[in-house]
Amino acid sequence: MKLLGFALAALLTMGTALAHHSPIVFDRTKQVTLTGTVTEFRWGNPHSWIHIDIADATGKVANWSIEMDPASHLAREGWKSTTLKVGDKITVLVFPLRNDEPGGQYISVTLPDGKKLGRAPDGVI
Amino acid sequence: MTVLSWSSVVAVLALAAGSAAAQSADPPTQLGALSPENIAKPRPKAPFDLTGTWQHELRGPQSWKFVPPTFELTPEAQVHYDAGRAAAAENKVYRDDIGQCWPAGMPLIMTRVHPWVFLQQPTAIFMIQNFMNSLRIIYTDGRQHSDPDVVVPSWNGESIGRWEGDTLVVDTKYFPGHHHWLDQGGASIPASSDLHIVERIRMIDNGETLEFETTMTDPKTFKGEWKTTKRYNRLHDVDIYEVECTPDLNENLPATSSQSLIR
Repeated sequence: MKLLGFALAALLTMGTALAHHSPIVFDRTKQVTLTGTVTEFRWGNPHSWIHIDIADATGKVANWSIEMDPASHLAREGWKSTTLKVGDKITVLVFPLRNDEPGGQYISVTLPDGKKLGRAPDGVI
Repeated sequence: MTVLSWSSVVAVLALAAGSAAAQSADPPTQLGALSPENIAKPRPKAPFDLTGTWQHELRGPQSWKFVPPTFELTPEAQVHYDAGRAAAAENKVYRDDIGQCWPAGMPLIMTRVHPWVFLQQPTAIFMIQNFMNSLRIIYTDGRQHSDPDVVVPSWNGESIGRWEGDTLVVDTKYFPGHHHWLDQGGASIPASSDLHIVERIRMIDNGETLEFETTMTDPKTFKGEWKTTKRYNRLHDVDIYEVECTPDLNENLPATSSQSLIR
């Protein structure tokens, strides 16, 4: 695990994600905090994902799609398939899409009970 | 069932039996790699066994690439390269084939940021990459490359290996020539059906490291030959798992479902 851990650390330092597609679509110079209601949580490989309803200042709701690492990697952060359920109120920190569509790449999460999970819950990568 | 249909059945069975007899009269020209008879054939002992789980060693942001610092592309490849650069300048992805579930293929499959499993037999090495369960087979049972008019091109190609001293030399060719890339992400360089790859593989560091020296030519894509050396570290406490690039995966991920991000 030491070597893979090193590889993961190197990846994060390099700004590369464990994705099956180009990372260029996410703006890794920005971090966005989203608070809303979970509409779907999929636990899987090569990606897990969260869909979450987010209301803007005017009350208009948009469904955000949050891409996550493989479940096998999230498990090392403490994630389980039962960590989220539909209707949970959570806060997620993401790197947003560059095209202003409601989507982003997962950094960390604050769960309904206040517990934090993520690569760096304070947002410092 | 009528008498007529019974006679038809008998005729079909007779034809099938004749066909089976004809097949058994012709011994197979090539034993399967996992045929016990093939495995049991006398061969020199392999100088090393690379069975294990391995991770490409990251040595910086460019270490997964196979493209040299300077290169000259053919006009047809330059079109894709320029289009890829233009897309990257707009923060868009050009021809997101891997993201859209086309195989990464050789050589990029070798440096995905996921572990490899290598399983070595005397007759073949089976390689499974945790990135989309990609399968690569290196035949080491003495067979030659397939007839080019019969072989089915594939993204990882057909690999024939032979031992040279302490080195496994692997010759790989027969690629599809479409939806296949030598480089992606800011510099999109296609792989043509003429791509030819020779790898010289050594085991070093008391069996903890594999070194791949890779030489590539693809006269339809670039001039000369490209050489790189990659290292892989042995993982002792990691297993690979099933990964599938399913349609619902991409439909639910913002990066692959957003059409405005792809050129």
